[in-house]
Formats: sequence, C-alpha cells, structure tokens
Amino acid sequence: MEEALAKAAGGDHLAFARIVREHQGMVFSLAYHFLRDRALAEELSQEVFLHLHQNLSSIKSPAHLTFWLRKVTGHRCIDQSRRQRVRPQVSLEDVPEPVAAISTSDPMLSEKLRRMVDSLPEKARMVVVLRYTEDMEPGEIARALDMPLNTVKSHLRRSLAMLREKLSRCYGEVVV
Amino acid sequence: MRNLDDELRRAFRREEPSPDFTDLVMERIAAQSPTVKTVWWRRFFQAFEAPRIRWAAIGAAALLLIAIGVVGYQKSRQTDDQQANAQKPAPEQPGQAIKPPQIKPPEKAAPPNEYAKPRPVKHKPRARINQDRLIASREERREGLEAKRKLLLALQVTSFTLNEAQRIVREDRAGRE
Repeated sequence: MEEALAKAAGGDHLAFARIVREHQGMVFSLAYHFLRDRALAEELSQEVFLHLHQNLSSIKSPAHLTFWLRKVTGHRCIDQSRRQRVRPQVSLEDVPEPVAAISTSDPMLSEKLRRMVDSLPEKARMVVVLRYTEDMEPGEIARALDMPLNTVKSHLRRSLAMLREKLSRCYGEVVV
Repeated sequence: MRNLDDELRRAFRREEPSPDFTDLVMERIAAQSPTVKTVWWRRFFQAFEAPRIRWAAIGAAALLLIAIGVVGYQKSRQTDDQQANAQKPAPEQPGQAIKPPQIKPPEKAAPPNEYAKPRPVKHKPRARINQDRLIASREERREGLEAKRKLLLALQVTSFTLNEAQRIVREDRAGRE
C-alpha cells in the first residue's frame, strides 16, 4: 500500500484506483450506516476520494491514510446530515416498540437497531457508527472527530444505555 | 440474554458500494482538468523531498537572496552617487586660480550659555565644503569597494553551493538508477 501511495502521489491513476478499491468498503459503510441512504452515501464517498486525490501529497503512510479517510468521512457525514435536514428527526424515545417480542433469529433485529441509532443526534450517531463499523477505540474516535475523549465516552455510554433499555423493553429480557 | 455489542457489530457490519464505484471515482478524477495541470509542480516539489537535496536547495536559495541584496545595495549606492554628482556646483572660471583646500584646526568649543542670544548661522566657506565632499566621496568609494568585495565573495559561495547541489543530485540520480 505504501508503494501505491507513493505512485498515486506521483500521478499514477492505476495506483490511486487500487487505493480506492482497498478503502471503498470502509468509507461507504461509514457513510451508509450514518446517512441510511445508499445513493447519498455513494455520492459522499466519491467526494471523499476526490478530496483524497487532491491531498495525496499530505498522506504520510497507509495508517495515516486510514485515519484521514475516517476523519474526512465522519466530518462530511455530520455536515451533510446538518445541511440536509430533510429526513425527519425522530427521537429515540419516539421509536415505536414492537407489539411482540422478536426471536433471537429475527432478521429484523439489525434493522431495528439501525433505526434506533438513526434517531441519535449527529455526533453521538457518528460515534456509535465508528465504534461498531470500524471497531475503533474511544481514543481513536476522539482523534478522528476532533472531540474530547470524555465526550466520546459520554456519547457511547448514554447511547448504549438508551439502546439497552429500549431493547430490554422490546424483548422482555436483559440486554448486556 | 443478548449482548448489545455483538448485535450492534452485526447491524453495522461493512457494506460494499456498487461494483462500478471505483470506475465512477476515476472518471470524476479524469474530468478534473486542473488536477492534471498541477502535476508538473507536484513533480517539481517531489524532487526536493530527499533531505540532502532539500538542504542544498535551501542553502542555494539563501545565498542567491544574499547576492541579490548586495547587488541591490550597490546599485542604490551608485544611484546616490550619480545624484550627488548632478547636484555639484559648476566648475569655476579658467582665469581663477584654484586654491588648495585649507584644513583649519578644530576650534575650542565654547561653554554652553543658555542665556546668550542665538548667533546667526554662518555658511561654511567653499573650500571647507569641497573638502567635505572629497572626504565623503572617498568614504563612498571605500564602501563601494567593500560592497564589491562582499558581492564577489557571495557569488563565489553561491557558485560553490550550486556545484555541490548539482553533484548531490547527480549522485542521487545515479544511486536510483
């Protein structure tokens, strides 16, 4: 990847295409799980890679590239969400509870969780998305989003507590 | 009992974009003509990424700036000289004898008297003015020669540094090949 970075910085389009293929899943997943709109997520991901192409000379290593992509995607998603404001903002408390308990193998469980996370405020939502899509530690999330570590931890703690409570009510069982 | 962390990881697992995603990105990059135009300067700056070449280039640039400064200073001195020559009085008539400049011994300074009336300002005699000009012109000539010496030295150092930088670049290139 280091070689591809150096070549891409020198104007090699094939090397840049390799970088895009390598990281498109990560960038798209973050955008998609945050925006919950496939077309919009693809558009935003393309813009992130265009921005990367213009700033390739500032990328120092593959690790820095990953960090840079997560950071730019996170900020762009939050900006996009604030700009858009088309989607109705539903409070987590307003998400309707299912009439019957969902079995363990219910394919709707993931969708239910995504909808719950979707109702969180922008920054808290991005913290949860980065934590569970990229398996990032709170410290990494804080650096990527330019947020204090304690704020990240607080967002995570509060979001998880609300999700846990909601799920416990849905399933009638303890969620840890 | 459910584990929320596991459920969330399952819900937020990675997704792939459409298969033509990379092609679309590359098409958009190709459509950006300014990026293509800027390739030459990127390559130019990349040539200075090696630390030795970078330092040699910085040294050469600094010496070049010094040389430019010295040349500018000398030029400004020359302009001043030309202006001073233009303001000199016309040469005296051929019939008049040119008196050699007389050097007067320095007069004793009188003790300051705050209550004395201010004396009318006396004009310096012509011989004294000529002598002052002669001394000033000697001083200027001395300064000019000093500036010339400094300029030549700076140019020599610049030339040496540029040769050194060229040698380093050649060695670097030979090493890569």
